[in-house]
Amino acid sequence: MIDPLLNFETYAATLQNVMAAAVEAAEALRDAAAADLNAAADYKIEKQEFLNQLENKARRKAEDDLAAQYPKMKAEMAAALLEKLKAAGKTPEEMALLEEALS
Amino acid sequence: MQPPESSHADEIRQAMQKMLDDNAKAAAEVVTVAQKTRDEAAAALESARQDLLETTQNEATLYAAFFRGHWDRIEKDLHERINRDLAAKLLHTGQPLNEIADLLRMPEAEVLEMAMRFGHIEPRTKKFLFLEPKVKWHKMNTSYARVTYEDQGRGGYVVFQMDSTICRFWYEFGSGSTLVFIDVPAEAQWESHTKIPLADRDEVLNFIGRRAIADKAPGYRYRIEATSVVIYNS
Repeated sequence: MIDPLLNFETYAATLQNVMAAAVEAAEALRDAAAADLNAAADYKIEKQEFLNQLENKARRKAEDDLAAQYPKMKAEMAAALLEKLKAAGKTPEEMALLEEALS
Repeated sequence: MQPPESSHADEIRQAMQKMLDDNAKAAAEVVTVAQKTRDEAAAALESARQDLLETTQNEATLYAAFFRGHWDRIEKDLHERINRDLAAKLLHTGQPLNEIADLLRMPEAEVLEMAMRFGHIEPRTKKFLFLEPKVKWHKMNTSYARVTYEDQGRGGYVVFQMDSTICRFWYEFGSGSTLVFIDVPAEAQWESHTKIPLADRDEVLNFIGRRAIADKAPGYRYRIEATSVVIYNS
């Protein structure tokens, strides 16, 4: 129990010191929290960059593979179209013209 | 009975003790709040770390999903491009529009637009006013071209279209003074990827840079690098 008749300076210092220690501890905690949030943001950026690179790699591979298949795909679609035109009743003369146009 | 002085001293003593207690509680609350913030940040850090770990551990699955998605999209684009090319050739042979649309399973309006653009039929302005594209075509050298955009969150596609040629270029948002990177094939891969002559590459990329700024980033500038068009703030 504090004896108020004792030292008022000691009493005031006690009040101040308790709060100062708490503020110092809180600031340290906040600094640590800020460091954690920065580190978390770095992880998120790293993840995003990883995903971006992975997707770019996959996209380029798909582009390259399909670019290689493009001539074959084009020839197959042209052939299928000619079949449809033939089935639609085009004459041999018309078919010859269409084959030349679509080649 | 206590003397008045003694009673007064007790009151002061009690008041001071209460202030000490209140002060201690307030101090503890300051630390508690900060501790809560710290705990939440630590949890966020752990969550982000775990998320990254799981993402990197799932690399093969993610790659396969990305690859399949791009494969399907590009394959669809190529089919459409080939279809448009075939439609253009059939138009040159004088096949009826509806027959071309039916054979190639294309919207008749698209074949009609091609026919008008290639000069196979004259546009009847009043009747076909509604067919005017929303995105304007712009003069590029002796032809007309246009640029449209497909936004997909953190990036998307810049779609360049000239005659029956359609090229899709992936773009991503940058950081700092760079607004956007538009990925384009290097000179060595340009023709195989775009089917556009290498001699036209600079002109096409300059057209894309100009249109992107006019459409999406007024006040920005662009520069052409080896494999990208960079939209930036000078």
